[in-house]
Amino acid sequence: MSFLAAIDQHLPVIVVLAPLLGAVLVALVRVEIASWPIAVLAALISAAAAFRLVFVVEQLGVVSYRLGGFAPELGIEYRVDAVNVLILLVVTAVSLVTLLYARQSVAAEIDGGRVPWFYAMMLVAMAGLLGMAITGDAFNAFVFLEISSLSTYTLIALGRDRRALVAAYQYLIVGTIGATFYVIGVGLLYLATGTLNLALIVERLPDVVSPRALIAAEAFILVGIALKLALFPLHAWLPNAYGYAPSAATVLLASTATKVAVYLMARFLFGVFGIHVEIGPVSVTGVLILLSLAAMFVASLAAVFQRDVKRLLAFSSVAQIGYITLGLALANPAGLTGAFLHIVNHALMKGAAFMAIGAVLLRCGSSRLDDLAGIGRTMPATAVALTIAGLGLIGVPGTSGFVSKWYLVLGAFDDGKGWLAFMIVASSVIAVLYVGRLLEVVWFREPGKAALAASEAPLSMLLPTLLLAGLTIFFGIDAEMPARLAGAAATVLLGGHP
Amino acid sequence: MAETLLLAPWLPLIVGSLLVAVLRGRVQDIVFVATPALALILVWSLPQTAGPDFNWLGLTLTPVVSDSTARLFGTAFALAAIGGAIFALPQRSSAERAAALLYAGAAQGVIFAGDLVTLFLFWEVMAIGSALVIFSNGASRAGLRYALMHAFGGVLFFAGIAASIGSGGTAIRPFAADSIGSLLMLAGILVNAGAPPVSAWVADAYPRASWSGAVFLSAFTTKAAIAVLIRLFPGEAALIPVGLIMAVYGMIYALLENDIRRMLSYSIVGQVGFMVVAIGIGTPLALAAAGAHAFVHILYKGLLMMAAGTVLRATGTARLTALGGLARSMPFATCAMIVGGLSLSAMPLTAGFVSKSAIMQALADDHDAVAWFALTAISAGSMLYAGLRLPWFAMLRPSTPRPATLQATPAMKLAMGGAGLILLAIGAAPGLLMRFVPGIESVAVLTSDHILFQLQLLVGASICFVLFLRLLVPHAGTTVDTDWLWRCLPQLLVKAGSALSRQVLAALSLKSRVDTRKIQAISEAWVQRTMHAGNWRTGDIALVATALLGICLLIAAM
Amino acid sequence: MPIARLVLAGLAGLLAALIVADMFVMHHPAFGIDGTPGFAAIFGLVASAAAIALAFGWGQIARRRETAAEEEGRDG
Repeated sequence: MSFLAAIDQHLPVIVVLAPLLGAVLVALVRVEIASWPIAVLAALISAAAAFRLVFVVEQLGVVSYRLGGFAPELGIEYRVDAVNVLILLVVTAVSLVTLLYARQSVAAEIDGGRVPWFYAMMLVAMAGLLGMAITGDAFNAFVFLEISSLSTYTLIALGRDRRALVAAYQYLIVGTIGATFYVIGVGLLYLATGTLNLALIVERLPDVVSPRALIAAEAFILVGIALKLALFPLHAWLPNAYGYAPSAATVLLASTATKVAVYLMARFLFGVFGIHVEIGPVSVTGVLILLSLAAMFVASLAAVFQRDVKRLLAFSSVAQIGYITLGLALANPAGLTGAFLHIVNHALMKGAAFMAIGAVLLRCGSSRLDDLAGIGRTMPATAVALTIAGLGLIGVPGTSGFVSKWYLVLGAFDDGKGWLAFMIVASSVIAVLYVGRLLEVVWFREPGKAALAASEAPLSMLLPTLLLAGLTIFFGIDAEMPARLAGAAATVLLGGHP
Repeated sequence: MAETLLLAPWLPLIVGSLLVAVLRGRVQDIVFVATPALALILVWSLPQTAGPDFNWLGLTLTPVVSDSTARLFGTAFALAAIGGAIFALPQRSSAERAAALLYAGAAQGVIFAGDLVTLFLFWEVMAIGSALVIFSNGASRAGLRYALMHAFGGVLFFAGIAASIGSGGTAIRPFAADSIGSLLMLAGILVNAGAPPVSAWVADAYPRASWSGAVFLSAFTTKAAIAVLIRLFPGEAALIPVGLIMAVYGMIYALLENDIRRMLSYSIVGQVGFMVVAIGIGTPLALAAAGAHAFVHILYKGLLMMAAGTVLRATGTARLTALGGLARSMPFATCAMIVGGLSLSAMPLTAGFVSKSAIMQALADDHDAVAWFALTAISAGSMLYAGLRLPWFAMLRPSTPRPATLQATPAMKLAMGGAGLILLAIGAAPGLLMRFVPGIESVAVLTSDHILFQLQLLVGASICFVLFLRLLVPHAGTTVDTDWLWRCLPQLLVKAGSALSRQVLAALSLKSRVDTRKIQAISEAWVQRTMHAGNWRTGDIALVATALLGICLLIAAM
Repeated sequence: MPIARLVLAGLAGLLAALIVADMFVMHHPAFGIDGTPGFAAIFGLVASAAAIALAFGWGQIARRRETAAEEEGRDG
């Protein structure tokens, strides 16, 4: 009992440390066979801790963990509430499933000697993302942001395609610009308030003399994060990065990386600056709504014209992030619930979709749309998972995508913006086009040579894929659990108590 | 409460759909026919009390609740599913069977839905099921067009429901088309009903199903829309002109069409127009009449589709130009076609006469002269295409008959015979139908002046048919339909637009001597960049980011 | 075509008989004119002729002739 209680006390740090230490271990051992089990074990511990945290947070409301016992003014505080516990849960759970999936995909796509490094980088990326989500310290978030970014550049560069190098380089430049903006913004905040702890910053904000410095800080921080979360029009790095990264890395990035950035943006928007701040004549929410709508429509349209399925799904991600930021911009309970639900649901369905494509890549050696023709006949289970994920992206009732869009639509109406609800639904029609194009190729085209030669994906890849696809359906029918967690997150962000 | 859910008529059909997908052989046959029969039993054993409530996403859902409208449509849908299943027994396609049962189950779900959200969910499943019926015949492009059209209608309907929930919850209740929400809802329902300007989807999609699949398609989607209109928009005056246009459109296109099943699809739109007009009137009699006409229409249109399917299966074609002279080799299908056609034309002693009389009575009681005279005229026109042109050119006219390679099986004859007998029985004893359509008992059907009126109308139409037979001879071809609006008009607009812009550019270059090629190159590059938005140069991204930041800071500084 | 003429004569006779019978029944008109004996016969003739004219005219404008092969090939 006391042992469990002791673990409970240290849960926040276990969540981050497990993958970090796992990465160190993998890098030290550097044996190909051992690296996968170590990585899975580390992710498992982290996921278990995050899962336990959910219950602890539901009981206590907020869990504060002071690293080294220093007071927040001096040291670093890990602060877990209903908002980031959801993110922790998603990141750890999806990472775990991704790592379970990764073994054969990685063995096929990565040179033997680099496999341990790949897993080490996966774990480092995971630790960085978890750290960004868990920390209550603005500068510590920057450190974790850099940790996750650096490992991500490496992961992308490990892709087989030579264009992966260019994509990684581009992401490196853009990511660095984003991180720089962010750290400049944090610096301005520090100058104005004298602290880096988010909770303390909020306490001291009313005493700040110059609002201009604050607005400048907000601009730097938001634009910096917007680059990381690929908010339109700062999304251009994403399609190439997702498109050319190794399959397992793409799954991890697509389902978790942008989501954590979204969380950070929500934290700053709601927790620090306040969502209803107006920069001169322009309101933050107005700009965010505009950019979100642009993302939903332009990126969806671009997805329709892609010839490579990974890039198609990547553009779809940009559009789906638009839905999430739209939910943030609505800034009411229903809209925020929808945004956080979509973070969860999109992680599940995009994970499933990219996993399915990874399996196709393994069996056919190509992710070009034309090469997927008729794959439904030779890889039916994989194609079913892809279909479910696609239906979820459209938001077909019975899939979780419907539930989150439903909340977004409700949020739009609660805000008195009926036209916005219409735009949400109308943009789904474009999703019908690109998903329809994909499904038409997969199910109705005559199989090509590669597709005919392909066999069903190995079970170790198929099961995780079907698990995520199944969850997409399950959360579409029984949305009680994610809706409760997302609702609690929304309440906390809006300043209430869950 | 929750055990009422086990009595839901859609439950056995959807379970049956899954079973049919798994099972094969004789067992599959039994499940395929038995589940619609079970649904029929459930339609009548479901108590007409408040349904069970469930909580989902903070909404109260009532997955099943029954009233007399639900029972009427539920009975019609179950009969159509039973008949369709028996008729389809020689069609050994598991995919089509599973899709058809899913489709039938979703249609029952729409009818018995107790709230708007459940209604919408079944509405979408219905669209999926019906699209799968078309896909299962290998018509992937037509199926995709059909699915897109219903996705569009579903989007409108969904947006409307979402807007309406804000003002009054999820309860199914009469709306007035005066707010954006209810207008969107109405538009979404009318898409499914085949109203203008999207009517073309009916005749585009239904003939692409197999000879047996079209029987299912003809029964559910449009009539489910009618049931929903009865519930949500009774007495909506805007429906009267919409229905009249549908009736005229259906008649004209049916008179021109060469493909039997396409003709029957147009006829669906026309007859649904009658129902839409009645709903627009909105008196209790009119609503009951719309329901009764839907019931009868499902039966005779199913019968006609079965007859057409029999011909298609036997001869390999359903084109009037290629048919004729089949009366001797296919007497049963010929009889079925005549009974169905005369019922559609509201010949006395057929069921069509009963329900159409009810609609006309409702119009007369409401003193709606325009609609009354127009629909009476269209009734005469219906006689032209369904009662005369169809059986004459397809079956009766002297011609060297195509060899009927596949005779109707006993199961197909049973299905057609059953539907025909019900039609004739209701025609001879209208009380059979009136008993369970409360509200139309007062309609005078088999009175001498009424019968004489109808007979004169039909004989007059027959005289015209014989006189102008040459104008009605079918030709191979296509009639430009409302799908021109979305299949051709955009191309024309783009062409016209590019021609215009070229002229403008030419004019500009004359004045300012700007090289047109340069402008073209710039605009092309711009298009390229939006389409392949992923291939930005790194510098561009940095530029955009900096620009965004700069704008923020600039605004802050002001 | 003597058969067509025969059918036509038969139908005309039938219509005449119906009109005569119509004079001896009690009418329940809703709009006045529809209670006139023989109204339905004339209305049926006129309406059908109008329907045929309308359809024929629209067919001239909007119907594109195809060969049978083209018509079959249009599906898909």
